[in-house]
Amino acid sequence: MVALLGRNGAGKTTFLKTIMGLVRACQGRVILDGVDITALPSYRIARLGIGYVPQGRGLFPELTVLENLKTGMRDRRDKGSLERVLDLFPLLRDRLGQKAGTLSGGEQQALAIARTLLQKPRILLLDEPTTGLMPLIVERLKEVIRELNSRGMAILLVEEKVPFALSLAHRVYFMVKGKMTFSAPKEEVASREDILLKYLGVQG
Amino acid sequence: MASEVASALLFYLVNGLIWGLIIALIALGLSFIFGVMGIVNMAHGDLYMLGAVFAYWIFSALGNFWLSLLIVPVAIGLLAAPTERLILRPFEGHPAVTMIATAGLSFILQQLVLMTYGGVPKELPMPLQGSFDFLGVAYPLYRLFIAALSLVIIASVWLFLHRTDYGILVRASMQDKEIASAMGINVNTVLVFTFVLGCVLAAVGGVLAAPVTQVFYLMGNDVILLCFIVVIIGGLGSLGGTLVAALVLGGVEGLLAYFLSPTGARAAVFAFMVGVLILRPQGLFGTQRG
Ligand SMILES: Nc1ncnc2c1ncn2[C@@H]1O[C@H](COP(=O)(O)OP(=O)(O)OP(=O)(O)O)[C@@H](O)[C@H]1O
Ligand SMILES: [Mg+2]
Repeated sequence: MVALLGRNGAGKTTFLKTIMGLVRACQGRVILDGVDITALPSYRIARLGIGYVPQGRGLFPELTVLENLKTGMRDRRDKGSLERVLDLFPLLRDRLGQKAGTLSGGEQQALAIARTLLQKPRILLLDEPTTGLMPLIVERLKEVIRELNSRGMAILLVEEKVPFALSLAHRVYFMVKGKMTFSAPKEEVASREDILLKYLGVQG
Repeated sequence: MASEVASALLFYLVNGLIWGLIIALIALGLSFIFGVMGIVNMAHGDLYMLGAVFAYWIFSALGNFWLSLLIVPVAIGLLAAPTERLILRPFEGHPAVTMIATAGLSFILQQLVLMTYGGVPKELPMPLQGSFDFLGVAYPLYRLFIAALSLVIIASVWLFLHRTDYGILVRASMQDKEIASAMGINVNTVLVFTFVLGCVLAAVGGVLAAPVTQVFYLMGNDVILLCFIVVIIGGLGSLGGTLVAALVLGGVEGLLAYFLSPTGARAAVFAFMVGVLILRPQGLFGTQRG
């Protein structure tokens, strides 16, 4: 699992959107398993196994929880996968018929991740999943992310909350003004105050 | 005497409501295309016209009206799909350009029909003879058929959108195309599908209306205005709102037609609708989503 840190407006979201083909790259390429996917339409990129959980959740607010989940499923008859994902987020189970727009922040984030998991991605892109969540929910989210990673899913985590990112990621990348400027193992970042100060302008 | 007036009024009212159902069918297509694709389809009325003209041609060639209900949707689908792909897709996300493009399409369709079908309005015989007694008023059977089929189609569209998996994908694309495609939904297919379905709804409205109106190359012009009004009053993207607005409009126009000339009734309806929009610019059932 890697984390991508950077100040507001550094271009982290844009970077993820470029991977997903939602923003076209002016230069550079996106390579997956040796194949250039830069110019593929987003839905093909998603089907190749890259799951994207957008900043601000990106739910379909007028659809119910179950309908939101189904948008992520390739095989919408696959009850088994649905059950497994609901086991991971039990709070969604009682709310399947409720409109996604009426969920609480934590439930919305759970739904956004659950919906993407149903695509069975190999790589998961998470854009600021903890924004607006209560500390208790953040802790629960941390467990889920760690669990997914231990099952073999590669995760790219974009975060504002530095301690959260450091507690999860193995390696940390820093983005400054749209450029990947520095990277280091998380131990090094955690032990050196100057890194955070230099690339984020914050105190560790 | 009083009961005669009452029966006459009832007859006009039912007539108006049935016309309202046809308008609802067409307006539904317009609203659907706008909701999913963000396109104001200026050629929508001409698809209604095309449906009626095709019905006339099919009847002339084969002596059967009912076949149009099968042939026209297929024919319009074959026209609409490449139109979306070749003419509208390149301008996706540019509402003004697509509006101009569909206005051009409207003009082309009208002129093509003028060239081939001619400029003289024509009539089709009633495909169903006989009438139906309703509260002492003899009502033509075919008009009841129009009402029944329109209701069945409107209900099917609703069921499709809300009870099928593909309907979920369509509604998801309607809410956020970018996220939908990031979820692995092929939004381009959804767009073609939407345009075809919307156009077919208009054309089927034209087929149904053909035997009870004059088939004419400009017959879509009035209808598209009515549909715009109905869609806006019903609240953009609200299927139920569109249906109710169309029925109100049809009913009011029907009743007024008893007192005024048909043209006078239509003018009065336009005035009424303008009044409603001044009081409630977001429509009767619209939320203020913009
Ligand atoms: N590589 C780039 N080149 C030029 N402009 C860029 C680049 N990356 C991002 N931008 C622009 O910078 C702005 C902010 O980008 P973005 O939303 O990706 O930042 P962010 O790091 O996700 O910020 P936040 O922490 O607020 O979510 C956008 O307007 C985007 O168009
Ligand atoms: Mg961002």
